[in-house]
Amino acid sequence: MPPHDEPDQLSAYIDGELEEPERARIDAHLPGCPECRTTLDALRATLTDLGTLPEPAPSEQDSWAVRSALARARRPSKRWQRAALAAGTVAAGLIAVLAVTHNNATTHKTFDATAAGEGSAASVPILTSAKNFDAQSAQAYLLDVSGVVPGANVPAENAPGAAAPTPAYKNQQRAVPLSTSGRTEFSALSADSSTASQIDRCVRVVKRSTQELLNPVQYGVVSFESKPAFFLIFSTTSRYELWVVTRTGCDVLYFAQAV
Amino acid sequence: MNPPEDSELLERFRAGDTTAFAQIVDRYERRVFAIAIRICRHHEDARDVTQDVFVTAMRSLGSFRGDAQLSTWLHRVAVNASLDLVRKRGRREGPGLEEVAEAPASEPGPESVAIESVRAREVHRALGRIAADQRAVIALHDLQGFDYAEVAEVLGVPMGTVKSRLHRARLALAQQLGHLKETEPSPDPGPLR
Repeated sequence: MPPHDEPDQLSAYIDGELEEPERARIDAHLPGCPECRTTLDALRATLTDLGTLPEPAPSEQDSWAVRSALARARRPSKRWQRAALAAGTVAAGLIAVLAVTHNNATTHKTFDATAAGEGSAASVPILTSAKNFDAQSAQAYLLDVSGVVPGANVPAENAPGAAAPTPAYKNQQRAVPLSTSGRTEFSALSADSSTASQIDRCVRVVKRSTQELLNPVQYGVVSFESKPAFFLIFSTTSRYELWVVTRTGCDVLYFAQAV
Repeated sequence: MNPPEDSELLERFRAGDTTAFAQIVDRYERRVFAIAIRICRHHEDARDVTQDVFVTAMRSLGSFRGDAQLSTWLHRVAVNASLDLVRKRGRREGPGLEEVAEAPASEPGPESVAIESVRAREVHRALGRIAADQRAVIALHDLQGFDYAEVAEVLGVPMGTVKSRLHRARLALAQQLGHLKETEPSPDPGPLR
């Protein structure tokens, strides 16, 4: 019987990774070596066991965590610069503000504890800026955060009127009427001293008003049309969303950017 | 139309096309996550590693010279990041399979689900009792289907090292699963260096 001086070869033997004459040598060795046959059986049983493991797959939340991390990893200073530049160069009045009806009874969405937890202000970077955003610069900022090339992936039917020099990245904007409970939530904002808890409150109301799972990307405390406001940026499976919640008057604006 | 080659996506990314990088993420995210969760064994750690891999890639691929394939490079970063995280965390025996994000089962009967999940749970736990770098080689070869040459490239070691490392990893796992008794040829439970 040939000696089993290289037991490491047994795995390669099973895997078909051995060339002749090594393979023939093991073929000749095995019939006379119970020890090697036992090891071979154990290796095969182990491979069978490994085959019972289901294939791991990232969840939708995992996927969006990756994309959110990538968005955050881009240079924020450039974003602010570009947003400010866009504010100065894009003509005013381009964007139609569409009022949409909002039926809280039919759009109520419950989120699981994990999703709700991920939306808490504690886990999402909060940006503060002295910049005064308006609709155009807000959209420019959202564009930059979402990393979408201007002009790409924007459905034609969402483009603004043909006469205007349209910013190609624009997808949609609308004002969101608040439900009674939303108004109650927001009316408490000014009485609340903690920025984080105010943002949490905003996030709760926003999540309650949408049917989709929203992954937090960035929250911001900014000035919007000279009024103090919160910026809440989320990602969904198909777009980035920016919710602007002003701290006076319970105004909520919604912007979307296709991805 | 055929999907673009990695090299084409890299070229577009270097030229400033952010959608090219998004395609790279789409293409490799699942495999990077799978490698990470097999080595780290914890869902949140695998998520962290996956994020790190692609953030590192976004920052580094601009100067990537293409000495290695993009896929090899990404998988190498995934393995190294996973092993680093395991070392940082220290030895931690994880809970059962419920921690692992698994693809949804394709509606088998309740009995087969129970049997499969019990054995899979045992295998998952046994993997947690062998060394992390042994899990890495098993993850790459036995679970992700890389051949010896690909594993050698990802780990940056010679083929002969892959052969012996994989064999010792399987022996260690076989012992944990009860296929080999303590008196059988002894696998080295320590790091395979």
